[in-house]
Amino acid sequence: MKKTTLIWSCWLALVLLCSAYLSWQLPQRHWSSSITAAFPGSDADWQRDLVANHSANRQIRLALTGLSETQLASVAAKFQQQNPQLRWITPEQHWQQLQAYYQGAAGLIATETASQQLAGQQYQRLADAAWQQLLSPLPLADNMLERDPLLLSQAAMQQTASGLSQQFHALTPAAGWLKGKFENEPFVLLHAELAIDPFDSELAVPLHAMLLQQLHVLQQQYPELRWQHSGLLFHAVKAASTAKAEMSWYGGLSMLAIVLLLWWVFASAKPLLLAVITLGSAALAGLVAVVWFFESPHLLAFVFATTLIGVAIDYSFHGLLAVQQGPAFFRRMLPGLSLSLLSTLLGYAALLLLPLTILNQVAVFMLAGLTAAYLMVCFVYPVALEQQSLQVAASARRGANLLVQFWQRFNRRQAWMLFGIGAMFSALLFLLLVKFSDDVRGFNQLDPTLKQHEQHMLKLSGQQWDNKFLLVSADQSEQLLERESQLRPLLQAWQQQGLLRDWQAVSDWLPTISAQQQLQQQLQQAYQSAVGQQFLQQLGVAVPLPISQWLTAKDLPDFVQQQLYTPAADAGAPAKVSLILLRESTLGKAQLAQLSQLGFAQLFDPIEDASAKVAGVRHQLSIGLATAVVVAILLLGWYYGVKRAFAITLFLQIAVCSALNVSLLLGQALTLFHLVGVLLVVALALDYAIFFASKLEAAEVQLAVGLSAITSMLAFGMLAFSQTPVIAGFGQTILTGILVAVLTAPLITRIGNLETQGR
Amino acid sequence: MNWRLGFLLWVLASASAAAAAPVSDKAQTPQATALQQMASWQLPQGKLLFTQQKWIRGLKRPLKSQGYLQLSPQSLDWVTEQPVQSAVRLDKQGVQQQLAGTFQLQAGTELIGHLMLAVLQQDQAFLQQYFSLQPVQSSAGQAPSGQEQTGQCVQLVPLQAPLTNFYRHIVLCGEGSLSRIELIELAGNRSEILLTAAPDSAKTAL
Repeated sequence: MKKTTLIWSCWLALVLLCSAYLSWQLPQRHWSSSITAAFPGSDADWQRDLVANHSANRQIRLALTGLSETQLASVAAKFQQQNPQLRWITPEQHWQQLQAYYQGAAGLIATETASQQLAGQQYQRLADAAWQQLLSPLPLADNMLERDPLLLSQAAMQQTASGLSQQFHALTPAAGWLKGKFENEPFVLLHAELAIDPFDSELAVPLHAMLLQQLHVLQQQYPELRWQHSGLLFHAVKAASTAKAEMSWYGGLSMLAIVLLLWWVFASAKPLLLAVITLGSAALAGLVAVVWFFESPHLLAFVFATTLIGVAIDYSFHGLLAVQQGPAFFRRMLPGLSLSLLSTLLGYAALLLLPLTILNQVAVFMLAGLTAAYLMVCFVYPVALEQQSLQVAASARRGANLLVQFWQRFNRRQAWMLFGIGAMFSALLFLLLVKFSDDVRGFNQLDPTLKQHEQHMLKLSGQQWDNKFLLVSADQSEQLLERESQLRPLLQAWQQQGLLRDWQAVSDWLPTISAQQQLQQQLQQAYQSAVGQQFLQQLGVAVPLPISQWLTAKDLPDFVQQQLYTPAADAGAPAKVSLILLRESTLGKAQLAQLSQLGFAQLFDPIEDASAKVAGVRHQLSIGLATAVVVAILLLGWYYGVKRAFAITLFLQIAVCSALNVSLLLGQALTLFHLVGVLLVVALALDYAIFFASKLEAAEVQLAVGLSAITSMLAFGMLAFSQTPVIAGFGQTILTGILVAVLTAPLITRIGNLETQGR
Repeated sequence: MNWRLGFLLWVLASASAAAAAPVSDKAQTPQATALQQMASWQLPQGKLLFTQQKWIRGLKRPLKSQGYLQLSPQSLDWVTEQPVQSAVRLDKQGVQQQLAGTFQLQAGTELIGHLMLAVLQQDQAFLQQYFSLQPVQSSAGQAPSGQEQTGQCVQLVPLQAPLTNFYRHIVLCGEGSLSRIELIELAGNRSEILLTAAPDSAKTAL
């Protein structure tokens, strides 16, 4: 009685402690839902940071249509006023920033042609060009003549602005938005930057809901109003809501199925309550561990972690059935349970070695959760239940016996033949069908409506910059600009070859300080020349004073400044980095080799980079898995003998190949997540094999394994219906693997018995 | 009898006055009046001579230039002959500067190019879309050129960006045809362009 109270008190204290910790920590944590953020990024952290902080990830676009131009303008203005928390990116701001930049750039920038003419002292040409600009009906930039009477900076800006003009396509800038017509229907295009991380679902979901609500309210005023939107926010929120819905839906269904199963088997509330307490404690421990070790828990990690229910219930069934058989049987069951826990923990611990945050979180959750479930079974079950206090449903026992008896029919030769043929056939089918894909784009299925919105927005706003860019690195800002300039001939060559339509580099806007100084010197010489003197005299202006305040990155418009990046001091991180934005680029190996020769520039494609890293992880996981299986088989061989170990090997092969063949037969390519599923199939199949190879009665083992397998299949089988392809593939693999494993595992006992008899 | 004749004459006279002086009609908006006034100008065609004076902020005296405009349905060639030879082509695509014998389109000038073409072609749809129009008194006596101005004027105030970023307003004046364009830039610069028909307007090409 005293021991019972002590154990329950300890359990209660731990539960309270964990709950207190979670209630303190959870409100401070930001849940992430980015599937790509969960994948391995670049080797260098600074590259991953750069992608994460790239402003394009925080931008949203909204097209309003269905109304007259005047009404659209009114709706757009209202919407902007209602959302001051968004940083609206307006043509007006662009204009103001450009004007400020023009002012500072006067006399410090020139086109390449003008620079050459200046260097060649072709002053008359420069003066003629200036006259042309002065006398043309075009408006002049404000206050330019005092600093740059030859108007070299105005010509340079016109050239630089050509890229901007292409961006705006057929759109007309208004003060706060762009406007245009699509299929003769007017629309306005609003552009904003979020102050929050779109993957931070705690902040992104309410913001998203508020934006949509405001649009619906506006639609009540203007029933004809329609809108399209684009931006990572919408995808991130959709992914988060899908993950949350799946987590609660599949978790709830699994729990319901388990409750029904327990009621059917034991027809009592006590085991049900004990199982629920076990699962609850395991989940609590898992959550505490994840929150303890990770700053941003990932929602998808918890979708994978619903599988805890399947594995933890396995322990619960073994404990419930063993307690009924008395303390002696319970003690005989414990080594098997411990060995099973150990093999499962080792399998999950392997996930910790992978550079994938999401899988690391799954591993931590499962390690803590399963250990908690194991401790509950070991210590709480013997004091919570009395021997023979529960009656196991006769139908459940009959089912278990039937399966065991089915395999008893086979003699030694037939049993080996069955395993051999099964293993050979499944392996051959696997080798015939096998194909892998590491493309991270296929890991997540875009919502069709959002995809449609994105495509329509692309039609409205014209071609945007590519999702890949060039990275130029240097030790100092000045060197960075010099290096960008060195890269320009290569970019021009690619443009001529049709490999690149356009680009935007910081150095197009900001010459190096030495170049600015040189230009100033040359201009002063030009002003002192006879042509220069005559030009200034005709114009009626004095010789401009030499400029000593140079143009720096701080003077650049925001949209150019965003291309400059200073990585956090880290091993291997360069001091300064700039992004060169590319449009319609199709760079091949030859071009990448040219970049590589330069030594300071590289093409960076976040998607390709992540895919390559996923391929690397898959390769590592394959090797790790194969090594773990070989080690496990060697250990089993040492413990059980060669023939039983060989039987277990064939059993594992059948389970694993069958699990993967189902996905292949469904036309799917295998991904890293199928392999993660295999890892769990191996862990669970070894678990079953260990119990069937133990000295426990086959019918008792079959009952516990069968019940736990059914619950696991219910839990994993649900994931097969997930909208996220990688989760669905994971679910299919484990569902099939467990089914095959639980059906064929009794053959291990049969072979073991026959081999023992044979000896 | 006399009163009937008198009434008839009064009605006829009123109708004629209304037709001849729509500005005085209180029912008509300033925009409509301005459009009507512009519509009364004969559309310029072919070649027009121009003289331009441009007051640029920071310059003590105006820049004077002269040359001709060659107007076609799709484009306007602005050819400066004095004090330097230069040519600019304006159309709906933008402004193209003649450099080394070829026209090169200047980025971001679509609306400015279209604007000048619309002003000379009196493209009322374009002008109404981008400007608020109102009739104004002729700035006779105040003209920087010192020339006496005649005829009615219409002031165009830009309504939206990017034109609002460039122009404070534009004034078009003329009697029978457009004869003066005044461009008041936001930067403080001002251009006055006086137009006259060229003797050989139909024959000249760029």
